[in-house]
Parts: sequence; structure tokens; C-alpha cells
Amino acid sequence: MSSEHSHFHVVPAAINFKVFLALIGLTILTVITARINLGGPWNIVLALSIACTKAILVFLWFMHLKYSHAINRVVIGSALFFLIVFLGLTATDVFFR
Amino acid sequence: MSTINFEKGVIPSHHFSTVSQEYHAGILGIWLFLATEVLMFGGLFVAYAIFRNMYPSVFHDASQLLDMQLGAMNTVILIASSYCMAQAVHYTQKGETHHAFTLILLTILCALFFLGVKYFEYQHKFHEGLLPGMNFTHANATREMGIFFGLYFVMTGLHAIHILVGIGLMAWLLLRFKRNEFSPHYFIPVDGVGLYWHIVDIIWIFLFPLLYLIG
Amino acid sequence: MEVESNYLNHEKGLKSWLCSVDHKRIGILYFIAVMTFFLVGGLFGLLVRLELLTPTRLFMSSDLYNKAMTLHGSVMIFMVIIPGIPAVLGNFVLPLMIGAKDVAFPRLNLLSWYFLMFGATLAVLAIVLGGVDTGWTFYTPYSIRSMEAVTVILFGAFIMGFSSILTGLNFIVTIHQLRAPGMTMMHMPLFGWALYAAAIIQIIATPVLAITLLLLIAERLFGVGIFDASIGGDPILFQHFFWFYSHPAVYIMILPAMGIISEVVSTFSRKTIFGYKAIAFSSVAISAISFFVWGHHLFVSGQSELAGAIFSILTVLVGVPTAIKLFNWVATMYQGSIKLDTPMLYAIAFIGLFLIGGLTGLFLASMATDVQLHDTYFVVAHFHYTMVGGVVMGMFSGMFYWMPKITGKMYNELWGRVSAVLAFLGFNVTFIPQFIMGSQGMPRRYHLYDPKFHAYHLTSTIGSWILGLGIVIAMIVLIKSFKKGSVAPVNPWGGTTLEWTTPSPPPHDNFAQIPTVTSRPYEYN
Repeated sequence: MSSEHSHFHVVPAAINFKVFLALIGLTILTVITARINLGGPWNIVLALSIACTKAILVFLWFMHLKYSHAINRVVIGSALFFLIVFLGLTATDVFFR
Repeated sequence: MSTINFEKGVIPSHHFSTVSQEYHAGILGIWLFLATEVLMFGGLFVAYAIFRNMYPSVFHDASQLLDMQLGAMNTVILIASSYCMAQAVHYTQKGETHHAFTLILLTILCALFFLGVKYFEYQHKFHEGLLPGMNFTHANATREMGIFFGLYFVMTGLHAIHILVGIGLMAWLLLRFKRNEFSPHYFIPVDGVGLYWHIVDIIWIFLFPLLYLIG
Repeated sequence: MEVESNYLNHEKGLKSWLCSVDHKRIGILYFIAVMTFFLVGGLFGLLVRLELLTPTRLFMSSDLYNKAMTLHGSVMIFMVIIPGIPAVLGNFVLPLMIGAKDVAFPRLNLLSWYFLMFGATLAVLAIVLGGVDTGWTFYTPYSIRSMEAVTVILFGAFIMGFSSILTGLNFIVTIHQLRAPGMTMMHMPLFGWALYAAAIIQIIATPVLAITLLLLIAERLFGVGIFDASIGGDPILFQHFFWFYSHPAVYIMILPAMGIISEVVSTFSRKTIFGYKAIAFSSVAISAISFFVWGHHLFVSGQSELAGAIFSILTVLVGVPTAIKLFNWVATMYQGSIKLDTPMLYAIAFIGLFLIGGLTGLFLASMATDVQLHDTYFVVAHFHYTMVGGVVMGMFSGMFYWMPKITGKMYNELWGRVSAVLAFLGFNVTFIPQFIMGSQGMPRRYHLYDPKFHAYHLTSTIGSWILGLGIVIAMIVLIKSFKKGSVAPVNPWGGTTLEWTTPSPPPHDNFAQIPTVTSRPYEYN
């Protein structure tokens, strides 16, 4: 790839701080909602949704994935994709025996 | 949003044409490494998912034996450490290396605190007879709870090893800061260690609810 | 007469080799290591076949047989055919082929070699401590209970995984960032595409092997229990974990070999490769699909029928891009100006033998027939046709092809051809009987067997001697060419890729000036 720009983007301190606050807020949220029985699978669905949101915040801003070359997003996206394949196909065995 | 111009200053390694090319190669390399971490820990999460679905009540009961408040505290500590690390990268890029140095020091302190809490937790588990295998002698534990605790120790143990390595890497960074080796034109080791540290944080972001917050 | 400065005489002394970050020297370090491991693994294989000469015990106890069989597989897989082509030929050739001065991370490259050597040392330690008898697949529960040096070899394999990951990481970044100006991805030679596709698997799959081995070690040392049925664990889960890596792993092995075949077939037919884009995209397609099929190793394990059906259908799919490549190589040869030098003989052997390997895979992909064939010699023959008939033949094709560039000398062509013919003949004599007896029920990994299979085993063992002879001759020819042989020209074969524009052997820095690429590869006048 010979088309890289020679400039690099700096994530502003203010954005880092906002992400930090959001992460703390989401942590508080997940702890509070864990104590409430939402019935069925909804507790785990909510907990995982919150965790995923936190992870996305860290990936996109703390890890500046939002501002990086697309290939880096493809790399981590592929890793997550194949992990889901691993879980999904293993589940077709374990839960359908 | 500010930008940094690479071309003023540093010379690239002999096999690269430009500093920018070398920087982007480095970042891609780090993301590829992080992908391997995601898949390695991911395997453990797959095992967890399988067994949690197999023994939902066992996992619920076993999770009660963990201290949720310590887990939550550790989560906050690690998020704070991530924030410090992100800011450290920011200030290095801005050329404020003194500020960055302090932030990395803070990150290390948070990491050490995290490990301290984990040590305290492990000690407690040991006394309760919840360590896997032959040491699984807890009075109220069923044999399947051994699966939960086996996973708990492997997952948090492997994570703790990664924290230790992270501390080592950050100590190395501090040394290099002292030697004035980083600037707005060369900061990739700081960036790289930062990316590693954030992945360690992300892993814990999932470990916490899955291990500590069941039911 | 003054000898030109090249990467071989650039610096002298053992330290300059063991601390070198030059991709060409690291390729040589890997060559020495891999060839040594190949001899060790081959020796174990010959011992296994020798013991099987008679249906009853010949000179080994059953315990010893299990160990010889396990070590043959473990050494060959982890120490020969996984690193083989990427770390030896990929390291040497890839930067030259894309017009770069080195790989992206030369120091990580050297580190990857040390990881392999460290892992190999642990494997040797395991042998010294009495060996391992679990089979290279380490299935639970026996691998948890075996009193042999299992933990040591697991740790060795774990370390060697890092070697593989670093090589893959390096190649992906090298291909993305260090291609010469003008060389778009679609102008890159197919060996590059092959290494890229294999590298994707090295990155995604190997970490799952790492955690699998760690979990097994944790079971053995600490009784963690997730694979232990007696405390509610699932031994079949181990198989899922193990094969999630080990199936894609076979494509780490074969994709680079296929890349070599694309290069050699084009050069020695003096004709543009047929279907460049199809081969390039098929490589990446194989890489991706390879992650969806591992359950075909678990058809008779107790896996659910649903999973079996899904994996069966997906497995048949992976044959499609593979077949596309085979058609394209044959189409390349059609009406080409064919030269049957040693590299081409090995390449043609590859095409025939890999075809058989691939087709017999279909019998195993189909769940209904696999039930009959699982754990028989049919499977053993299938994977030897793909791994030896495919990967090893491909590896030797590449080695003979690039040896003049690597050593600056022409190897002995007559003995090269002899080795190819002997290896091909010996290979078939060894493994055709195995298809037959496997389909008649001869189980794999058995030390003692029903006398009705005696004739097949006898034939197979004699074949192994011919195959062994061919391989040894090949290795002698290659190694001798470092010292003896006529001076090799810059481009002895009339190849069209960039490595053939540098001197033989290349200078330390590869290119005085990075070339600007204006044409596609495989254009002959």
C-alpha cells in the first residue's frame, strides 16, 4: 500500500475524557441492572450489550480504530467474526445432541 | 482535530521508504497481534458460553461465591488505567512527554492495584477450598461448580499474566521516556503498548459481567 | 578473481548467522532446522513402517510403537510442514519477489526462528524423557491420564505456535506495506497470494491451538476439568477446540505449496498462468472456508447429527476453489512449451498426487461414507496424499526451483530428477495399498493387525524405503549445491518474477534500487 498519508490524527483529550465517563457510567449501569431480575435471557442480553458498547467505545476512540486505516478494522473484525463461527458451529453440536 | 507531520525529523529503517509507511506497518502489525489475543481469550469465552448454557444454575450458584464489589472496583480501576494510557499517548503525540510519563506511571499503579485485589481474591478462594482439581474441597460445592471455578481461574489467571506483561512493557516505556526517545515524530512504542493495554481492558470488560454478575 | 559481495559472504562467523536479521539468512537457518526435523520425523515414520512389516510384534513393544507413531506425526506436522514452505522459501523469496529489501519486521523474523528452536528443544526433551503416546491429536481423556512426557511436548507445540504466528504476521504486513511501486495486489505473483492466504490462517487459527494446549496442560497439572467427563466436563469439546486450529492448519500447509506450483508450472510451460484472478481469489476463499469445516473430524465422536450434516455440506464446498486451481494449472500446461526439469517433475507429481488426495477427501467429507472410513488407513492414505504428495512435493519443487538463486550454483540436475522419480514411485507404492486396506477395515494407529492385511503392509513398507531413498537423494542434491555446482545465471529458468532480476545469490540489500513495476508477472516473449 503506497498511498498512506504522512499525517497522523491525534485523539483530543476531551474525547478521551468523555469516553472515560461513558465507560464508568456503563459499568454502574451493568452493576445495577444485574441485581434486577429481568426474566428469561434478558439479563445476559443486557449485560452483554453493555459490555459490547464499552468495548466498541474503547476500540473506536481509546484505540483510535475510527481514525486508522480500514485494514486494521478488517483485521479485528475478522477475528471477532471467526470467533462467532467457532462458538456458533460448536453450539450446533453441544446443544443439539 | 490536530495532525502530526511525520516527514520532519525521523529517518525510516533501511527497508522502508518513508516514516509514514513504517508507522502504518507497525500499527497493522500490532492489530494482527491483538487479533491473536482476541482469538486466544475468545476460545476461553467459547468454553464459558458452552458450559454456562449446560449448567445455568451451577454457574449462578458458583458466581455468588465471588465478591461482586471487588470485581466492580477492579473494573473501574482498569477503565481508569485505560484512560490514563490513552491520555499518555495523546500527550506524547503533543510532545508533552513529562505529562505522558506521569500518566504511564499512574497506569502502572492502577495495574498494580488491580493485581493486588486479584491476589486478595485468590487467597480467599484458596482458603475456601475453591481452587480446581484436588484442592476443590469447598463444603457446599457440587462437582460441576468445579467447571465454573476452573474457567474462572484460567480466564482471570491468564488475564492477570497479561496485566503483568503490560506492567513490564510500561516500565520499559518509562525507561525510554527518561532517555528522551519519544516525540511527536516517533511514538509508536507508546501507541503500541497502549493498544495492547486497551485489549487487556476490553477482555476484563467481558470477564466482569460474565463471571461476577450472573443472576 | 574477486567474488561478488552477496548475502552469503556479506559477513562471516557463526554469530553473524545466529544474530542475522536478513530474511535470506533467516530462510537458510529455517532450511537447516526444517530439513533436520524432516529427517527425524522421517526416521520415526520409517521405524513405524518397519515394525508394521509383520502382523505381530517385530522389534517394538506396543508402547514404543505408540510413541514412534505419535512422534512421527507431531514432528512432521509442527516442525516440518507447518513452517516448511513459509519460513524457508517464503522468507527467502517473498521480499525479492515483491521488490522489497526485507520483510516488515526483520527482528521478529529472527525471533520466530528462535521460537521454533525453543519449541523443538522441548520436543527433544519430551523424547528424552521417554516420549509421548497419545497420537499427535492429544485426544482427551487419555491425554490427561497418560503418564508420559505429554505436558512437555504440549508446551513445545505451544511455543512453536508463536513462531507460526510471527511468520504470518510479518508476511501480511510485508505484502500490504512493502510491495514495490507499481505492484498492485493484482500484479503480485501467486506465491505472494498463497503466503498471504496462509498467513491469515496462521493469525486466526493458531491462537486457538494455543489456548487448547494451555487448557490441556491445566487439566493435567491442576485438574481444571472442562474436558473431564467425571466432573461434568466434555471430552468432545477438546476435539472442537483442537480441530478448529488443526483443520485450517492443513491449509497453512497446502496453500504455499499451491503457490509454488503456480510459479513453477507457468515458468516451465513458458506460458502465462491460466486464470490468475481465479487462483488468487480461490486462495483467499480456501482460507476463509477452511474455518467452517473442522467438524468433519468429529463425525463419529458423538457430535450431534445436525452438526455433522452442516459440517459435511460445508466440507464439500472447500473442494471447489481447490479444483479451480487444479484445472487452471493443467490449462496453463496445455499447449505450453514444457521443460521437464526437476522443479517441474515435482510440480507434475504434485498435481497428480494432490488430485487423488483431494478426491479421496470427498469420501471422508460425506458423513455417510466417513462412518465406515473414519480411523482406518483410508484416512491415513488421504492425508499423506495431500501432505506428502501435495505439500512435500510442492516444497521440493520450490526448493529446486529457487536453489540456484539461493546458492548461486546449479544443483545436479540428473540426480534431482532421479530423486523426483524415486519419491513419486516410492510414495505411490507406500500409500495405494493403504487406501485399499483402509476401505477393507484396517484401523489406523494399530501396532498389531489382522494377518489378512499382511500383503498390503508389506508392500507399503517396501514403498517407504523407496520414498525415503528419493527424499534423502533430494536433500543431498540440494545441500551439495551450496558448495558444488556450476555458477548459476541470474535467471536459469526464464522466470518472469522479480527475484529473477537479482544476482544469484542476491546481494545483502536485495536491490540496489527498488524497482518500479510496470507489467504483470508471467508474461513471456
